[in-house]
Amino acid sequence: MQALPATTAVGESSRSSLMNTTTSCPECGTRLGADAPSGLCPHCLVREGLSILAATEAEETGSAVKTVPTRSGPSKTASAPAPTRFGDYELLGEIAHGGMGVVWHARQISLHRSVALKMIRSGGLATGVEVQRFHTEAEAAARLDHPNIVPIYDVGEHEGQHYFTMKLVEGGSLAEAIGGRPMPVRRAVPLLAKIARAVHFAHQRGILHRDLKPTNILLDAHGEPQLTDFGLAKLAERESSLTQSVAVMGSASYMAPEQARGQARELTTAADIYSLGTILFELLTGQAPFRGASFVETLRLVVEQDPVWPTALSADVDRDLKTICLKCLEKQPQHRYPSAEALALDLERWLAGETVLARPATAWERTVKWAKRKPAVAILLGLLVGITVAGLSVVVWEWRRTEANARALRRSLYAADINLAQRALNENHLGRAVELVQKYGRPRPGEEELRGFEWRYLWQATRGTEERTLAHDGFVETVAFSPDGQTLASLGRDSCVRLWDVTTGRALTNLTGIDVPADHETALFFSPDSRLLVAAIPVNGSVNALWIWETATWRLGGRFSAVKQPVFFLPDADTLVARVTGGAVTWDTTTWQPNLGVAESFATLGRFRARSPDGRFLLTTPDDARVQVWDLTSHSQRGGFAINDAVYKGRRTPFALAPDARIAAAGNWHGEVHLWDTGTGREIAVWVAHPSPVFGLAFSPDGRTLATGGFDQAIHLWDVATRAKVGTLRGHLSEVWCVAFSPDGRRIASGGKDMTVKLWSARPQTEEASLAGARLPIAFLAHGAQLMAVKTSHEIAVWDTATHQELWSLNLTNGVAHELTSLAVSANGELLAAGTSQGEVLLRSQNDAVPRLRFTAHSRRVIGLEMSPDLRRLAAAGPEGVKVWSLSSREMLADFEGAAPPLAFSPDGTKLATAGSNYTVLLWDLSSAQRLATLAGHKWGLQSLAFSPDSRRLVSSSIDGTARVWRADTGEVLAVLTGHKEGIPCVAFSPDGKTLATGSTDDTVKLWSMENFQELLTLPDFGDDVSMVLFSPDGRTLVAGGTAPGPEIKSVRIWKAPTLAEIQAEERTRKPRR
Amino acid sequence: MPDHNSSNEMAASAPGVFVTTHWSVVLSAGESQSPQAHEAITQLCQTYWYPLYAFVRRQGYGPHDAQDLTQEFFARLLQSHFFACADRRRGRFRSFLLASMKHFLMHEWEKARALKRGGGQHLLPLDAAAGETRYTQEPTDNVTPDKLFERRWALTLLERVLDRLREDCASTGKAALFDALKPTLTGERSGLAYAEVGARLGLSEGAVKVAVHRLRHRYGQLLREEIAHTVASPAEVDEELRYLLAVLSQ
Repeated sequence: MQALPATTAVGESSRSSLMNTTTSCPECGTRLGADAPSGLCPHCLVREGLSILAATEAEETGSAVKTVPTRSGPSKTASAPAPTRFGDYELLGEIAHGGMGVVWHARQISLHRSVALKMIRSGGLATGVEVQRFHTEAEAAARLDHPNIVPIYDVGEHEGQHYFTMKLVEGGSLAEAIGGRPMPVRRAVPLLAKIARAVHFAHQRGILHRDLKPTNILLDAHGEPQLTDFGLAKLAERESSLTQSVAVMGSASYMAPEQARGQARELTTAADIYSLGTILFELLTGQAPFRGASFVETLRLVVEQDPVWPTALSADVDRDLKTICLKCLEKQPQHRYPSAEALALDLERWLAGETVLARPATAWERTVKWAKRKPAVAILLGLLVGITVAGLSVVVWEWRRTEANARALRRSLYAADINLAQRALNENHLGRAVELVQKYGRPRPGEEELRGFEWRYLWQATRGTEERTLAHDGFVETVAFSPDGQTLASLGRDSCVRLWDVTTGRALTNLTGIDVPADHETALFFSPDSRLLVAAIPVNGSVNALWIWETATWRLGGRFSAVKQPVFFLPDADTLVARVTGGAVTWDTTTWQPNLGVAESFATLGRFRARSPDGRFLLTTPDDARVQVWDLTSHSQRGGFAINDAVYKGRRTPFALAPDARIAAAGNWHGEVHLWDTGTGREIAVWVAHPSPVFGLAFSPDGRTLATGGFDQAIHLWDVATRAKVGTLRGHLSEVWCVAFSPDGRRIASGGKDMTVKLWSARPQTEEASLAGARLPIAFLAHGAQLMAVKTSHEIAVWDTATHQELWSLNLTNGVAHELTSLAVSANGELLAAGTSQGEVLLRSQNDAVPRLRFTAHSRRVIGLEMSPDLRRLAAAGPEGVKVWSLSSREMLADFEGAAPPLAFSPDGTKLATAGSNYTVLLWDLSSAQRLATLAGHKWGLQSLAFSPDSRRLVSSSIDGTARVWRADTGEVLAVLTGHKEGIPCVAFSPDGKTLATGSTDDTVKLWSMENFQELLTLPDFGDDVSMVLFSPDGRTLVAGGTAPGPEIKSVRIWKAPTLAEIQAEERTRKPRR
Repeated sequence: MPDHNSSNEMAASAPGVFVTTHWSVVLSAGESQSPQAHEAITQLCQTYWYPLYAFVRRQGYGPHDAQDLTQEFFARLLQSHFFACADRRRGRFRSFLLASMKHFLMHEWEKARALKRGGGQHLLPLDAAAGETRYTQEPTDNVTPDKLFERRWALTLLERVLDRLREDCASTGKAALFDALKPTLTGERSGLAYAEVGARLGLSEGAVKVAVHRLRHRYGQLLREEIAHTVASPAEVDEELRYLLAVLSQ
């Protein structure tokens, strides 16, 4: 339920006389009102602002590249032969190197972004188990989305070298900032509190850092701490190589005693808390608590000695701060703070001048500590500690073996993989996304079913939209449709031309024995009458072998050597032309007699670039700067243009020619597509079509659509006139190298590095469905087949969720005298309740034109309404409180004073949740009309409440950007979901209770696991404040709505997720054909 | 009117560097309630109170109630809780303000009104009468309160940028030049004859061209700075600008 926007204009005159003196904007022609700032058109002001800023930024980016930010300066070994290209990355310069390996400043080519790339020292991961563990942990760490944790982008291996990439953080490390001097306490304490909160965030997600130290904490441009290397540093440093590594020697000072002892191989969060203590110590005093002359000496000090009191080293450290610091540095893990958050809270208490909770050591404890410094006692105590640790290790070991722990780990990894899959999908890296989704099949016996809405949604989103997949055994170089539209030919590096029936997808035959060399331009095309198929295959530089087959029998009709491209048919189909050294040669295609007469007019043809879809025109480049168009009917050159851009000179630079040859297109390595008018030679347009190189390019037969395929695995379709993207074809699992339209323009064929040819409809469905005119979704009807949504401030309507057609609408103000202020709809959409500004509640069924029931619930405006799922009760909120009414008798059942919206009934009908004062949630028992609990924790206003389907949990969300999960019986908080940047106006449980959806004014919808409360994924940018999220009762659909700006309201978005049974059935029928 | 002390410090900053802005100061202050954070939030509220006033009026509250309510809302915002909530969040000031006002209307206003019949203390001096005059003069029909808020927000922001730009020019004696050249801020089709403007102001055509370039460049800078004041990180400036464009396209 939600408040309705105000329905009518307020009483007073809203247009002033100033409105009569309007002028128009000279730029866009909009009429300018009295509110135009300084008499200028606001729209044009912002638009110009954007273009001015874009121009300025372009200049700045240009200069920024020259000054590569480095953390420890350029490497002294920079002159050593360094690989400049590393998979998808260009290595620009070394940032640092340490025990773990080398960190590079790199550019990710496909995504055009700067990253820090960390290569794991060779030998760092010796065994397969370690490699596996590294990848698993890195993937888990990649899920940490926190403002104070450096995000990991990618984890991988290139030519046997393991690496991961992360965000490039400018600014130095905390070690450099400390520089051996104490930091002012007022700067140090908030800094460490932030670090501790970030560490806690990771701990909550099951990830330990294990190597916290000042060099692993970077400071960004605003001086904000950024933690790197979560869970990774220690993994990549094999325990056996520890002793020799200088880098590790440094980190011995920050190591927890149990870690230094090397006994407790399974570390806990307490080890990280210890390390936080050492960092705090160093921030306050300028030096680490223990620093021996050698590595072993440092380890010994860590294990045996008590730290010097920081108060002795710096006068600025007071008693409380000292206590906090020493509590972290306790030798026994159980004596330290129970969590990094507890440390952060104590630091924040100290900042606020409150009493800290860290209990100062008692006199007895100090005596024990003193005694420990005595060697004789130390031996005894050492034994004692050894026994304790050994005992603890066994307990930990036993505990880790329990099934519960295995389950927790599996859930955690699942959440990490879902997160990564969504990220890969956003970057069009479909291959990776599919791989991650496919990791989770049907659970084995005894295993928990982890797959919820998020997995089913990702399965659908990564499924690809192709109609057919046809398999090669090598990369696919070229695809071509026969002019009669019946046959598709594809040429692969498997030395094979494969022929397919376009309608059935059946393989017709394979033409084998053609050696296709890598990195040369091949050509494959049919004669205009579909009688012949020609392949031009480079054999030696620009010299090609020509293969000609008769399509009736697929017999090889002829083979010629020593020709050059272009090779083409004249439009009458009787003549085949090929360039040869010093001229051109033609053949009569019935007799295969050479005919030199025609050839002369083509003697000056340049390098072949493209042919028009109808085969009547050719595009060639006589040199690097010029492009020519040849009319094959008149045998003459017809127009052309100049290209100045050096990026078009390389190989695999695709060109395409529109059917009438008036427009030519080219794509380049930067993902840009250019259009030229071949008549005037002018460039018409340029835009960025892909974030990475464009390899395939084709015009539709009507010339209206341009298809582009590229490195990023996607094919985009563009309206040639407006350059608007009209569709995206996802399904290739690697680079797309070639695209072609069928002669009727209805299909697209594509091929590439995933060794498949795919056939698509050229009119793909839009990626994300939206309902035109709908604003806030409020209920699913007819088991999810229909959706009811608020349309205008006084109108609701119902849409078909499959066809997106509006079915019917209802004006809520019919028969109502007062302004509507709130609305509630029953779960099945059949009953509607509206509240008015005069305290009235009006009830109607969805078929009633006017309300059938009305009663006065409050003396003043109704500010919130909710109906119980069993339709027996209605809660109405007014300024004084919430009243609960019986819907059958219209009697008031309860009056909850101090309660306010949002409101939520538990599905079992026993409880009502409301807001209380001071941002609390109030839980009310409906049978006794008593307050059950007051749930405190939110720091700012409540925005939404929802019970889980089993009524056992309650979720509340707030402007403070968090959602809290509570036990509905005791009011105990189970989890605080942090991740949204702004308030969360809406939350919804999936019908199976496994997944929670949250919608925020930060324009995102997030999904959370209700098993372990981890964030699962963020749905593709909503582009608007999200005010409502709703699952369909069958769990197959999620909708979200907001109030979108822009003239066309289309803000209700629909995400589909087929059921597991449907997915299983679908997977059985989808195998590539060959 | 808001004060402009910060503009010099801003102007001195290198382009492309995200200067410490009001909203980021507030966000980074967390629960510590530093005087700087208080100053920053006061600045923001003084600049952007009108869009909120228009929102309240469009909700159906009368001028008197709306004035009282806006005052009370800001008073509470500046007094309390607010800082606790802003900690570690990384959102936009615009969204925060609107969500908080909606919450205030729903939960606290009625109670507050009952308590303070005698009139309360106002922490933020707002020219409420001018606000009401403006509200009645501007078109408000056929828009929801939310949309009205967004549009007023965008216009207020642009006004502030243009005010600062004009002051920049005036401080170097170029107020007349600003008035003559401001149409070029909305694009190149303004049909402004540079030679004519030059003749009127005693400048060569070339000098006018240079002045136009500088004016546009400075406008871009100030626009970015003003938006930066209301968002949490530099990455959000462009996004917010595109959002404002969408708001103004309606």
